[in-house]
Amino acid sequence: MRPGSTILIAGSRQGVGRALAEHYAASGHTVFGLSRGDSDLVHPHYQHIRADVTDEKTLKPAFARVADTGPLHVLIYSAAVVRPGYALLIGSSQAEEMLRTNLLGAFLVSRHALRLMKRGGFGRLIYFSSIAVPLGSAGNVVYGATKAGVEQLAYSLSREFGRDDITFNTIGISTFASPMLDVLTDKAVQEARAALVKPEVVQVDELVGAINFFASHAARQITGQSLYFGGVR
Amino acid sequence: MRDDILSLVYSAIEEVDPLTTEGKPIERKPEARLLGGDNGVDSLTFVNLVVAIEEHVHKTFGKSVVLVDEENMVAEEHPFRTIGTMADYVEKVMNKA
Repeated sequence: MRPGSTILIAGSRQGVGRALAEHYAASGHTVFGLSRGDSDLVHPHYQHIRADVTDEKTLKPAFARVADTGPLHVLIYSAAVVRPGYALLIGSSQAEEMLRTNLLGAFLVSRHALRLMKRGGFGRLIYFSSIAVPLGSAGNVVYGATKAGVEQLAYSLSREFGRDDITFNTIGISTFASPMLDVLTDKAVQEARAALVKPEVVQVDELVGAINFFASHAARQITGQSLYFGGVR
Repeated sequence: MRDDILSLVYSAIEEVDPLTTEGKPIERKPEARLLGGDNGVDSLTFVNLVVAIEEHVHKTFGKSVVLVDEENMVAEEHPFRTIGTMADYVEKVMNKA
């Protein structure tokens, strides 16, 4: 990551997004965070913007605010909803909530970010996927499908923007200490870990290492790729 | 105002330097075709042109606009057909911003 980069983190109020917002603000980058609710993160390098990633009406003014400060270099899309449940037991409204936040939101936020990145001639878009994609985890049918959709989104966008210095990659997290992990039962967590070569909970510095690589100038030819933690593929 | 916006669109065209599907440069006149028909630009080039116009609007007028927007576009019929219709459309979007 270039020093003094401007980073937008969608879903920065808690979990992975929050941890990354703290890290990158403390590292001296300019960090914008998006979420539906307020954030209690206070740092001179952090600005929180309330916006719903699935609502264009709130995204437009949010990105206008980002645009006023200059070019956007990195988008980290970590907004996600997980509602575990077997296919025949999960409600359609829960399924729709996951589809909207995890997939539609990634698409809408990407479009706004890309406008700013095209202007600056540089962009790195990094999305969080999940090991639910390669593992095809039972009880995570819709969640896994949304994350597979995000991977396809990144891949197709990489085709559309192949001529620009803009890349799209996904990072599949195994387990990370966050509210998302809390919604899984102990049995579900144990089953997920049993399927992993590296079952340890992923730490922030490990995520930062992966993000910094994708966000680097040196990774300009790495696009449309999915990187998984945990030893699965 | 419209002349200013027309100049702005020409500047964006200068920057992107788009070619028509027939491989010719776009003429700098309001009735020149931008999108659709046999002599418009291809859609990927058009994306670059839209981004360039949005950037010029931001630099010149300090307004952050989104041209390809459902809310704006439903009210217009073929806003990107020619340079002239694009300029009219940009003016309307700017006035709403």
